[in-house]
Amino acid sequence: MAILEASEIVKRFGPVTALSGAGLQVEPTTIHGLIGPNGSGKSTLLHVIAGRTLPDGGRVVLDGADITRAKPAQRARAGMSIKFQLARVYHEQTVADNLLLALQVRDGIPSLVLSRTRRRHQERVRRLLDDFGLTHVRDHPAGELAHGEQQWLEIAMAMATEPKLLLLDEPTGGMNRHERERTGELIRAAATTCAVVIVEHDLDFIRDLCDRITVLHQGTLVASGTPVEIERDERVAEVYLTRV
Amino acid sequence: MASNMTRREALQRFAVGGAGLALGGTLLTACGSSDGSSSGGRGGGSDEPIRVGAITDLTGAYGIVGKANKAIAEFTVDEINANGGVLGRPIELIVVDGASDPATWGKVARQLVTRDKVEMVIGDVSSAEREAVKSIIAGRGRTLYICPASYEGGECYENTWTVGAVPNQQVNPTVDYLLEQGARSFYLCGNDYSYPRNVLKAARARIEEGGGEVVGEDYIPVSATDAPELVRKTISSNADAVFEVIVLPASVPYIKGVVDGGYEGLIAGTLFDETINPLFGRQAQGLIGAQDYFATIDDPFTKQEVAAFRKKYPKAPFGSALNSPAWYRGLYLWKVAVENAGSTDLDAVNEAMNSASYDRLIGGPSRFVPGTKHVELTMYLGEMQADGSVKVLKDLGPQEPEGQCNAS
Amino acid sequence: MSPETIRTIFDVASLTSILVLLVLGMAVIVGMMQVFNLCQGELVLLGAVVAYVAHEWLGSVLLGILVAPFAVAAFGAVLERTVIRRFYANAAGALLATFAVGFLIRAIVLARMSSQGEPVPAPIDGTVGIGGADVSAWRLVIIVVVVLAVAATYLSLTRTAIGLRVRATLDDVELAAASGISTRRMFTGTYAFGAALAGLAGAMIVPLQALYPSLGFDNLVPMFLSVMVGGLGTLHGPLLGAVALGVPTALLPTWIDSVLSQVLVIFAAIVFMRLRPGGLVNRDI
Repeated sequence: MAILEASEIVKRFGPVTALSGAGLQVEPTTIHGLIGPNGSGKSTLLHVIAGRTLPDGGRVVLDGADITRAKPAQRARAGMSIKFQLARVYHEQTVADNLLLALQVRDGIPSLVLSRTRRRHQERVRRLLDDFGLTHVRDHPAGELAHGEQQWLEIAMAMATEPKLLLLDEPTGGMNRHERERTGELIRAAATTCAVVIVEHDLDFIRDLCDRITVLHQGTLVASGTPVEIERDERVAEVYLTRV
Repeated sequence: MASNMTRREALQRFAVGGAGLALGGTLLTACGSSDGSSSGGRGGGSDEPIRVGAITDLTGAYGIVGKANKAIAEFTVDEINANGGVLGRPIELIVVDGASDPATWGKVARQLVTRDKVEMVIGDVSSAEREAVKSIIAGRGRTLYICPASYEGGECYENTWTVGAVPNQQVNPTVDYLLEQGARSFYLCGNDYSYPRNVLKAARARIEEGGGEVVGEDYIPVSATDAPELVRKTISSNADAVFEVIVLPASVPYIKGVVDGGYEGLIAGTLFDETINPLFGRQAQGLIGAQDYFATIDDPFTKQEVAAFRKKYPKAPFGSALNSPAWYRGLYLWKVAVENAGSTDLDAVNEAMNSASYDRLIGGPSRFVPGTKHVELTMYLGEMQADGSVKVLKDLGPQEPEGQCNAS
Repeated sequence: MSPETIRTIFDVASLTSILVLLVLGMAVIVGMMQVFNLCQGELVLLGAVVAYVAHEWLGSVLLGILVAPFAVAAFGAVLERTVIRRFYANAAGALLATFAVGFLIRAIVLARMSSQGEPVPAPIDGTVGIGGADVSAWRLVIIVVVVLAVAATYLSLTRTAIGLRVRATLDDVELAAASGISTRRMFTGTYAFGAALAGLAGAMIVPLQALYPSLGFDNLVPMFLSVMVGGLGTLHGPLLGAVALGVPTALLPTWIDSVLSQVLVIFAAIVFMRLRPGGLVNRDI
């Protein structure tokens, strides 16, 4: 059974229809690429899944629960983690506090008041810092990190809650080749415990990393399959050719 | 804000809600405009009411003063009306709210004289407010203006008459008493504006005349809420006596600080009475001041009137520091002047005001000293007590205003 | 040290601590939340009202001081839910709305009063001798309470999980919401916390003066000046601003005229803000 199923999604912005019946089906512990030319609706679909915008039609189901109209905080509690396009970390808090914040999401207010969570999460913070290579900057404000480090911190935060689904919006934007490779490794490691959806411009990165790829064009589904299947799909080639 | 409110009950309701909100003002302007038509011309028939405007601060910083002023004005007018009115005509009192803001004073004063066409306006709280309205009322409006506030002196504008105390009336007997008690060195302090500066100028003159010496004179900003440096300077001055004119709220920490800090001299001022003493707590004990009324003065008529007022307005504040006796005095001296003039004609009333005199007043007899536009007052010297009450040390008798309006 | 010197030092400590106490709640609401809260003075006033009511009805100012932070916090929470919330994205609207709220509170308090002020006695009256100088016992208590309140506020915001969530919410609302923090509750809670500190300030300082409607409003200028001099965005910025303003305000009149020294302090504050618009503590520079 799919961990995420978005079906028949319709989204209009005034007179413009961004999505007309597009959908996405993601299996557990797979890396799923979502691609399409500019204006294809891939970002809008990601936003609908993430709850940043509500659809005009269709359904979003996460692990059997309908979350179509759930608030972002409810989605987070249901097991969805999001890494935004621009690195979204708490700039003024330290790297360790950023992770702590991510870990405390599921803690109730009473345990927060009693402050027991800090000690309980200490070990997990240490491991995340280690896994993501951020130990040397643990007490730096996150806003001072290099671009790549900020992106990794955000993936680490997204993974901190042990989500069922991780949404990544252009995780390699602005990265150099070395940083991209490192990001790929981190995502692959993450996918051992959860499903990952990636929206990305870099088609080589997607092809190397993803188990499945979904292609959108003009707000509708063009194709969905393995990288090999997608590479051979004529309609996909057409979409990307006519673009030029 | 309460500009167009001329109906008393509406004003009462309004005062509780609080004026000043632009929205409320607009709303009330809209519903108040309908009663503009009911105003008659000047003069009129023999039992036509005489319209009198009362202007004060029912809201804002001076709201408490306004509450007191409104109550005593209504009490006095009701009493005059119950005894046949003025020249046989009842007084119709129109109370307006200046909202502790000189600009609002200008607005509501204009409406009193142009729309309500009052024969006389009584009321001032601060000098800034008086300055903002006097030309509107007494100049272009050509309406008699009576000022009940105790103030720094010097108001000689046309058609304008002051019935509150000026500095020398409070200061001279107080300084004389301090000198009698053996005080030779004096420390002076107050807030930095015209009233305290003029009072302390009068105090310095009287002290030096009487052979005393001023060892220090300091001022704090009007906006001060605390005065630790004045407390230090007072204590270290080692003066035999202090004369202070600090207004609320800084006066509270000042008095408490000086007394608790171990200052052993006498402390005198012009702003002590039963309405303010309780704020000083037990540290009020021994403060010296002169006023035109204390609750404890031995005057049967005053006792009877204040008891009647208390019965009618059990919750309204009343006291010398709130100008309550002066409002009563102002309304009665005007009544005497109008009746002596035989009409409400401005020139005739002005002439009669110049020598108006009346004995049955709260606090004792009073009269305009011809040529001064200010009044002679019966004054009392009091010693404040720890419980807030006042022990009357001396009935000072009539005290003339000095140096006002080119009196020959 | 001469008693005169001790008294001067004590006065500086007293005046500065009172300003810090008044600014503490504002540091949370204006400094951290960046809501231009013109009714901050009336939150202080409400704290004073609680102390007065406890004194009148129950005969205990101390009880009033203990209850005031909770009572004013509850009021603050309701105010945030009904009014403040609507103006987070609209600074001018927030100014007008909070001014109107403050005006209403003052008018209601005035309408209930029948004297120029209501005395509220200090729970601890009298003086304490320090090196030959008699200083006000209650002012000494205030200094101690201010130190404790600042420490408690600082620690709860930096060392507790709730404090971390508050900081995270103020740092990046959208991210906080996406990561499961209920940001609405955080804003309500933070405003209520700032209101509680204002309530504490009001209840602590009312015995020094008296209860009167503009008790808080009269202090609004030095309070805002402290925040502007200290800088927005942090807790400690406004508090340092209060110290930077309070010390010279208390100390200069020892040598020069009080009125002149007030003018000098305000002038210096304005010049400082011209030269360093971000204030003393500004992470953007």
